[in-house]
Amino acid sequence: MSAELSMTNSAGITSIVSLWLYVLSGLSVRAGGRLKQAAAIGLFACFILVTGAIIARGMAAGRFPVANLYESLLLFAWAILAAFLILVRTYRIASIGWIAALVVSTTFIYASWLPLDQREISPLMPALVSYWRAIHVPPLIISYGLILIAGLAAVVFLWLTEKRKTALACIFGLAVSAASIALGSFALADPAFVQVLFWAGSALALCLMALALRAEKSKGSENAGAALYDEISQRLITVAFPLLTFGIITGALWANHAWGSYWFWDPKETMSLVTWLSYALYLHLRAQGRCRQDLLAVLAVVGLLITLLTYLGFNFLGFGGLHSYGQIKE
Amino acid sequence: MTFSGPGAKPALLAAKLASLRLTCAGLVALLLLMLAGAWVPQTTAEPEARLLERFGTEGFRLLQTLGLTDVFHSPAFLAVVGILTVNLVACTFARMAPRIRSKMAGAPFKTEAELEESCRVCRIESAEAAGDLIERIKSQMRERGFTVRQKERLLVAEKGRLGLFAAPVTHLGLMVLLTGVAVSALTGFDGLVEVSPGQIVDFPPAGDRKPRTGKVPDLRLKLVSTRQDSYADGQPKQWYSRIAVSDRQGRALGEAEASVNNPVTFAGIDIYQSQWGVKSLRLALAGQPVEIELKDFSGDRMGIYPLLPDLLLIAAVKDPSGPARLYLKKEQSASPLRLAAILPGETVRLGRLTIENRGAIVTSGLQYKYDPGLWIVYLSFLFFTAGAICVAAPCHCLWLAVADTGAGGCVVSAGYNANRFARIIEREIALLSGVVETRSSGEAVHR
Repeated sequence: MSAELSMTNSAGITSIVSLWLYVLSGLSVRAGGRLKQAAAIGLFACFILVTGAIIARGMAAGRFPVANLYESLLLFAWAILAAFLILVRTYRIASIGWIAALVVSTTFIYASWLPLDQREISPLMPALVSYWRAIHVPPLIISYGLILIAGLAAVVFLWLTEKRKTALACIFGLAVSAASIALGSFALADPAFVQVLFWAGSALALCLMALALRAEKSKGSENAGAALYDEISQRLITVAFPLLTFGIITGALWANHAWGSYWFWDPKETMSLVTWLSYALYLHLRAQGRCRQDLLAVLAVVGLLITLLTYLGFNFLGFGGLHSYGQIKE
Repeated sequence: MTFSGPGAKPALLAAKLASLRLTCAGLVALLLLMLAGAWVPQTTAEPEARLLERFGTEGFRLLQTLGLTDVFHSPAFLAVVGILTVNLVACTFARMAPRIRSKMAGAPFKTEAELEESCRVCRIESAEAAGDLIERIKSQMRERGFTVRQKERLLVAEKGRLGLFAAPVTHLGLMVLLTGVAVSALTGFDGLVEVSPGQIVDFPPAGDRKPRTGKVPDLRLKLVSTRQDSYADGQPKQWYSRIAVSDRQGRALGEAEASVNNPVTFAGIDIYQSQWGVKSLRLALAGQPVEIELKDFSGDRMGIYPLLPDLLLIAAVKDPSGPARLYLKKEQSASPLRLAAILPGETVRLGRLTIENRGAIVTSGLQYKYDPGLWIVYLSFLFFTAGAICVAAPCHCLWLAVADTGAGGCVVSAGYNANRFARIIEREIALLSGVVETRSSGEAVHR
């Protein structure tokens, strides 16, 4: 077994162990603190292992390892773990770790189920042989990781402020999106059904969120924990937005360099612009200072749904385009 | 808001054009159209056959009627972009510029009553006299990097004013981008030529898109040579094309080699190595020359030549320097019969039939582009980058109102926006006083 594979497998196992430690910490009052600490140490170890795995894969491939979905998922997991470590240091809390553990372990499980040709190091097609790949892709993947934690932190904020219906509507939307992507990724259902599931499910989720926001408008309680998650969500989006902007711009520069046009209205390009506009709207409303915090939290979750569609959905829900090399080929 | 007097109508129009409702409506329409354009395969990127296969004839006709097969060039999309452009300009000058000007002058002072109405308020009691305390507060806040202004017993402390520029710089970037796109649309041109080695083409081709203004240089392109570098498993690694460009009078402008991600430029026109393929295979069947056109089929290039009404010759080529694989297929039989694999220049004899491989003809797909608006678009990218950096440096503002308690001491009311990094400000307040006491005075405080 190669060093890269060993480190990746170890990182995956560590993340799953950390997740279970967080679960147990919630069940045990006496040992809760120690279990959380152990889980946080586990995530730190996972971060070291993922970093090593990425470096080992890059050395084995002789290039920066962001050429297919599997490699982007490794970087995605790395970004989430790095964000967790910075948040722990900045906010001095380890409880955010359960979100990081959940996302990272899901990412590793998803990556492990990808076909062998995705996980193997394969030669690059001519269009990908460029220094732009290492400039364009990493900022985008890192921004997606930050956006994911921001969205989940927003859901926790809603829950802690007792806007439970709104939180549940957001969770429903995320679950439908994840299910569609999982079904589409592994061709477990008819593509038409997967598309209907995604679009109809997302539309229903949006309606439920709107109704719940209206119903719970006067509800809610402030607490320090909720304020913390709101700030984490805001802070992560504030950092993710410049990375997203840089990723889109460098993608345009690369496209012009390779194909003579900086914009093709490719599905992935179009969706990345939709993502950018949605977070520009979020930041505008934050800056205004007059928008309800629960509405801002819901916007963060909607932005997350759009990001999932951009990163994974458009590869696995039957769309083509210039970025279709991210698709799993049967 | 009401207007009257001589300037009323223009002011009313400006207000309507700068309306935030118009922005929201326009953005929602834009997002929906973009989602539709991302979901429905566009005829600019996919062949019609694919759409017909996916949606059927009736479905395709319906999508075409609704303009969904070419959303990004449809009148609806262009209209929404046009409306948003006007709205953007109006918002930037009518709303944003005055707001930025006033913010540059500094946030307004707020009395205790105004703080209760608009902010989250924290009260800090002190036994010190107001005058001494105010000086200490100012000194501490300045040490923490805040710019502090005072008006009698009212203070405003601000930090990170770079964040104020995030929206206006981004708006400016959008306007510059739209200008660049308009210049490109009016004066630029682009297209694709497929050429074989030794072939000379005039470009831009007569049928291709021409700019509405400006002179188009008449050039002649010759593909001197082209090649493919492959990996060990035969997968393409890189394509190269040696190109010689001259004007129509035959004066050479230069010769250079383009490859994927490495374009070349002649007379302001960029030429990109876009595609590469084996176009056809030349054989000689019993001395008779035959050219079989090849099409892409699962990584191979394959073509069919009818030898007899019910007998087909199938040719497959992966690499032009590699062997051509030949198969025979009868109409009734399920699978073809492999005949031979012949290297270029070689001949095989099959019974009384000799087959000679005279080599594959390759084509190089060269994209060309002339875009005078490109530098304007790149300038807009700089503005977007700057705007995004400003987003990451948000502006913090703390209002302070100091009032005497009547017992020789005073109380400081510290107000801040709860929606914007409240914990940072609360930490500043905690540092300021050592004690944080946050008290909300009803719903009105929370904005």
